[in-house]
Amino acid sequence: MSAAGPDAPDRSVLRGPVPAAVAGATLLLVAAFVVGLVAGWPTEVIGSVLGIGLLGAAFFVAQVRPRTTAERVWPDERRAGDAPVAAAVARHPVRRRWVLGGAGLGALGGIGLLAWLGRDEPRGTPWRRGVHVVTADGDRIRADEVPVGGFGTVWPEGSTRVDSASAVLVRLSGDAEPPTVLEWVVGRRIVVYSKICTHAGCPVGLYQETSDQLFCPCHQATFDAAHGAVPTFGPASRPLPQLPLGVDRAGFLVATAGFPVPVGPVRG
Amino acid sequence: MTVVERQETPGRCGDRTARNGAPRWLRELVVPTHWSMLLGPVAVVCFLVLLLTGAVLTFFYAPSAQPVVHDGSSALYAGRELPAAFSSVVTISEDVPGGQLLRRVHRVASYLFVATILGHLLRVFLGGAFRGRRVTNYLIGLVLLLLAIVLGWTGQNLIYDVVTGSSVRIGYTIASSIPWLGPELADLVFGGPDASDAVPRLFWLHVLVLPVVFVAVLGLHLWLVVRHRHTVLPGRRIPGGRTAVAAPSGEGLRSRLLLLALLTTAVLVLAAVLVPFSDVVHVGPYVAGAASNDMYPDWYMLFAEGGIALLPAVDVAVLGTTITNPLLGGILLPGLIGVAVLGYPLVERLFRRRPAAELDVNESAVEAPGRVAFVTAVAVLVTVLSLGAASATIAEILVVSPQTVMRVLRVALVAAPLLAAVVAYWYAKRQRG
Repeated sequence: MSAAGPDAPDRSVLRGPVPAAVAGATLLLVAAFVVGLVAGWPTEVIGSVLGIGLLGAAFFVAQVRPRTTAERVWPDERRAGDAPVAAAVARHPVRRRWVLGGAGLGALGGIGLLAWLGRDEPRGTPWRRGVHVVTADGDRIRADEVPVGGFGTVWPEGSTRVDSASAVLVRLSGDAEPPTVLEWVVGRRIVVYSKICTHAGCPVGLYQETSDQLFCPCHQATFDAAHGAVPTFGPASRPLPQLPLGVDRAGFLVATAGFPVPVGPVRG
Repeated sequence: MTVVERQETPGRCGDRTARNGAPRWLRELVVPTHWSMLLGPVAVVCFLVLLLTGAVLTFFYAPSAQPVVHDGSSALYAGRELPAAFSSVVTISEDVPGGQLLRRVHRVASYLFVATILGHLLRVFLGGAFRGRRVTNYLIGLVLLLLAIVLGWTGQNLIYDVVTGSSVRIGYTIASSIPWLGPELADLVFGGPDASDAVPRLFWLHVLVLPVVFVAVLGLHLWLVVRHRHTVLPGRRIPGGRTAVAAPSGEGLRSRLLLLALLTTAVLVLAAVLVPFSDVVHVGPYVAGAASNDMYPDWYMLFAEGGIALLPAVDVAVLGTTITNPLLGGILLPGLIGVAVLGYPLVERLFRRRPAAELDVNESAVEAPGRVAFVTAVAVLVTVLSLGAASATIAEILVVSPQTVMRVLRVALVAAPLLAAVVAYWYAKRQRG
């Protein structure tokens, strides 16, 4: 703290023409800012002009403001600050009971309202029996055209914008093994899992071909795609749901049913 | 208060201000002249800057995920189909006069806002300014910190860039992991797990509900500062066992606050010129199913992100609900930190009794080694958690696997805060002598 005594520096030498000059320059800069705004100058220019203008205004205020320094003593004679509040509470002991009761009723009402407003509706995805697996562009995928080491985001046909329906198509480097549901694997290697991480709901966006591992970039949850996408590392506790997958007569990948369990994280 | 001595340099308008200036309650408010006392006021200035810039931004922002064809002049996005929210953000950045500056100032002000609130909390905590009757206001201050963080998070997600989709889903997951009430609460607040459901809701929270609540709670906070009176710094002793406090208050207060506001705003604007805060030109819009490896929330949310990454996978069904990792890392761990910070004054009261009159004087940090140890432990814990959010980036820098980084951080999560607390306690005690 700076106790301003009689020997405090006297900055009055700066008074006189300086504040006037600063004020003039500040006004000019503010005017330039307005002109720049209208004329569409680059952000850096109008920002610099405005910033320096504000500094000038601050300097001006610093020059002309009254310099008053009072020194006080502590403790002083007055009573502690919240004594009236404490006295009021003491005078009205019933009020506290009312407040607490009201808060309790309010909380109960709030919980009831919440339960009513946010009624839990079953969250399905558009995946159904006979819905084709398509790319983001809406193209159907032929089972024999999925490249080795292939990995990509796929959607139910007609719903390529429904976030919760996103899925990953993987062509494994080896044969799928239990707990993968083998009858839902096409050609023993092509498998589709939900793309919504069972940990916190991020898209599982990364795939390591050599070990058939799926990674979630948000919190490093790791799933083994060759073994039913069970979590092998990180904070996820449940496997990614596997899509019942088949092939139609023309050789295109198609869902044979919806996801057997809800996609995404467990809800409390 | 008793005025012992007064020195006045007559200014151009000094006499007038002194005579019919601030009201009596303000003139009698004694605030010590020390830089650390400015942290709170700077946060208030940041809030005003945020209100002002935010109000202008709402004129141009479209809180919707509907795809529209971008009709701005952007070289990258003109004619492309974008979500309406992202499209309006690009328009603000590239076509609204001064819009880019406005967005940058809004973002950097939010950073300084949270940072100065944290600094203010640190000042109050280490100096023991939470003691006695001020414990109520300490609680209110923590509520303000929580509101500031939620305000920042909701604002970040309005941009609808690639980070938003995952960020909203993580928020939804954490909210819905709350036992029994979680799913209803999450659906009420977010409208659904997808970013497209959540953006309109988050918009109203960000521009209306939360600011109104913040203003009300801030008013209460400041009223209680006046009511309880500001703490003083340990000053020069004068005869009679009393302390002299250099305290320019009421008379010059308004011009000093104006000066502070101008300086803070100038720094924010110049920072926005130097650093391209929040520019979206090279960050794509959010498209369903998209993810990237470089997705981070704002720095003050990293600890929660790290919490759910570092804590182990949990899946325990009890009493009709399921305890999961997002509940532990996203609700319980931050909640425990909050309860510990909130409950510290009550615990300290049991061990460090001081005469009531002494509670108005700030202590220097080393006088209470327990406080230093506690602050250090919390700071180290939050730092380790924040690093946990960036384990992929750390792994890239150190050329090890992310799994290794996470295993090391899991150990550090338990060991480092305890170790740091012991060292800090020992150091503070030695400094005290």
